[in-house]
Amino acid sequence: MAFCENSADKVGQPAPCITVASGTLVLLLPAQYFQRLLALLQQGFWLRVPAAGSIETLFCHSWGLSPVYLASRIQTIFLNGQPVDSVAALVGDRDTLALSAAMPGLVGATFRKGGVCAPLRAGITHRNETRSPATGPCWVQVKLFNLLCQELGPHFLARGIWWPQGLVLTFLQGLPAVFWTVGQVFLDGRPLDAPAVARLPWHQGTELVGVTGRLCSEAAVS
Amino acid sequence: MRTEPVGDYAGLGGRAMTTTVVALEVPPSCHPLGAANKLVIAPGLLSGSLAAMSGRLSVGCKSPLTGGIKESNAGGQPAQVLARLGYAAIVLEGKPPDDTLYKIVINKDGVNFIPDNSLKMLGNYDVVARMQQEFGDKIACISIGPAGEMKLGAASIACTDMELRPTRHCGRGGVGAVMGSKGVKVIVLDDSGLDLRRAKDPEKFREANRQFVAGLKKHPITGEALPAYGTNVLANIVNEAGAYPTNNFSTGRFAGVHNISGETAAELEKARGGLATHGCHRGCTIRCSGIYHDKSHNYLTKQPEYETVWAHGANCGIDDMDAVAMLDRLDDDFGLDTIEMGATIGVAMEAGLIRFGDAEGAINLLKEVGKGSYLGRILGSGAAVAGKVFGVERVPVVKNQALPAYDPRAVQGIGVTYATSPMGADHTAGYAVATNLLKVGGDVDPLKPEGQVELSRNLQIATAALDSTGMCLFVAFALLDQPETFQALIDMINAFYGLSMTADDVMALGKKVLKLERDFNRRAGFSKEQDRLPDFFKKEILPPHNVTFTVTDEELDAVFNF
Ligand code: SF4
Repeated sequence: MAFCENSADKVGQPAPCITVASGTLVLLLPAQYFQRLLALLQQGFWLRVPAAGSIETLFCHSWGLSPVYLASRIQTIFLNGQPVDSVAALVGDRDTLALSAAMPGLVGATFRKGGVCAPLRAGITHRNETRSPATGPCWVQVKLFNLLCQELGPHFLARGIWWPQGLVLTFLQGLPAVFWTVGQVFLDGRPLDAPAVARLPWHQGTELVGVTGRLCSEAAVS
Repeated sequence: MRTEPVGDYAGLGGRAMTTTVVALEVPPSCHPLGAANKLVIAPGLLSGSLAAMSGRLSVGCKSPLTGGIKESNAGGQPAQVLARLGYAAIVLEGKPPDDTLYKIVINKDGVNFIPDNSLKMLGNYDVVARMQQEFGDKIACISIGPAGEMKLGAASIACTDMELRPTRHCGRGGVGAVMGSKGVKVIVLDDSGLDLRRAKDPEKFREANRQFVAGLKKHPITGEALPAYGTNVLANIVNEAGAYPTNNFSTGRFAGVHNISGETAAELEKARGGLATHGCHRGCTIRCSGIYHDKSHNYLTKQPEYETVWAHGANCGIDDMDAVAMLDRLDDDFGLDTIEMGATIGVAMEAGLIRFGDAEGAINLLKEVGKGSYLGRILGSGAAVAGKVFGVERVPVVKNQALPAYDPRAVQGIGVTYATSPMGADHTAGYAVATNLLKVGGDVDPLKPEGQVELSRNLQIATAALDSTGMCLFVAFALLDQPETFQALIDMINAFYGLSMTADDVMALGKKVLKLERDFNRRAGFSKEQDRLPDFFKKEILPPHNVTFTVTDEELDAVFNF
């Protein structure tokens, strides 16, 4: 399936065209291999949500995170590249949410949601009144930065996320030989090994592939 | 050489000391490389004591890059050692009669000037290794590389870290050129046989220090984000905000940011046996730095900071972390400001000397500076000179100093600080984000558009105040959110000196310092016309937000209405 209409309020670029590939990947990752997913978490993954809503609704209802965590730990939120001051901001189809814990520097303080330095970036601040609420199911891209990679990455991975095939392929091909003795990867229930990964016809595809992952001890995998 | 009592300068430290001496003793119209300029080197108020985070060294002079007053500071060990030796400041003045190069050795027995022409044109790493051979490894060094000897506008002054490596730099404004003009290659500090500086009220001091450290540890920035990733943790969010200047400020997003982000660098450091969490001096509890190893798992440089990674990375279109680390190493060795050099290479790329993204070409250009070739000397003179020589219009400088890593079109309030700081474009000028807590000039209404001018003013005052204590600026985050941590800092200073200062007194000091700096610049010929961003920020639209800098000149001129 593909969704390619343009969305008017993206920052400087048209909304991405989303095509979903068939197949679901399951990763059983010994904890030390989780770090290898950091680059992918920073670049963003996609989530399918049943209904559009506010940032707060998505986090606390759709994604099962606590309001306290949202209020205190997620200090900086960007919606389509615009810093957000209120979690009541509406998220629409093919929007991008970037999330960060507390950040250093004047700039860190400037981007903090509702912070005293917010006027310094008033020109790019997200303003809700410029958008109308979206309806129905939608795709949302989420980027995780800094401490949130470690804290939220496993949470979202366990629930199931979508990544461009090319990124997933680069990740799988970059795994060292020893991984295949301690971790496991399944595609549609069939186990993959290094030669099977080399044969995957994914190339640098931008179609999204569903990925579910679980961190575990080496003993649990073997 | 003479040693004088501290006299009227008693009670001053860090930026308050260096600025006051320069403002009162240096003729504003003098040539920065001439005999009348002075290079003032001062530890912080609490350096050399048990106080956490107290090892910042401040350097002040008239800047050969901006032509105005300059304060530049760095971490590393020298501030701690200098303070323990009992000196409130070192002032280098006059000019040597010939081109003899000197090393100055300061220990408990006094000060020695030793001519040593064998050090000529050595890089900082070799100079420090030679000093280590000669004086042992209990020393701390303040040195210049070839860039300082050639008196280039981008020359820095290096301070050694805990491992006796010259990795911490007073980078901005060409302070290394002033040290070079005094004929001093290295100052060797040795506090062997000397004790920690003791507080007047040791009990109160210990308790205040304990509270201060606890405050830093519990805060999510000083206790978690900075130790885990260092300052480069900012790369992703600044990029996301469309404020990450890329390819010489031509766009605000860099596609390769995830390859050079703090998160990625930290993992690389750990995987190669380096360190992602490390202090630059003893007594640092935040430990925002690290140790970067090359592909063969050998030491290459310290963890490059956010500004360095941006300047040599995104600003030059380079997303190879190893190349950025190599450029950082070369800057440290030649004694160059990483921000100025990244901006200059960006301008050279714009001019077509090499293409954006050419990591090898960038390394070769930097090596030209180390060699002292004609091209290298042009580049080592900074972005403004390179822009003139190569006929480039988009030159990101204010008062001839290169802009740091935030595009002022996307974050306009920071542009206000870049434009109006007496230092030239400076990311640390408005860094102390303690504004509302400290109530400088009253509360700011975040919803008012004029808030950014008011904020910029308050931030610059608060930063000058914090710089004057000589504490690492990164304590500012905990001070912003935790009033008790700010109080603990004031209690520490009071217990150490037997004073009863209040927060208002500290802020008054910040205001005084800024006014002195501003006044020096006025006497040096600066006027409000220099408090402006380059024209292209007002004319060229910055993607992805498609914004220009819209703060008016009248608003900029209101910053210093206090
Ligand atoms: S926080 Fe960073 S810059 Fe500050 S003293 Fe520690 S290591 Fe040095």
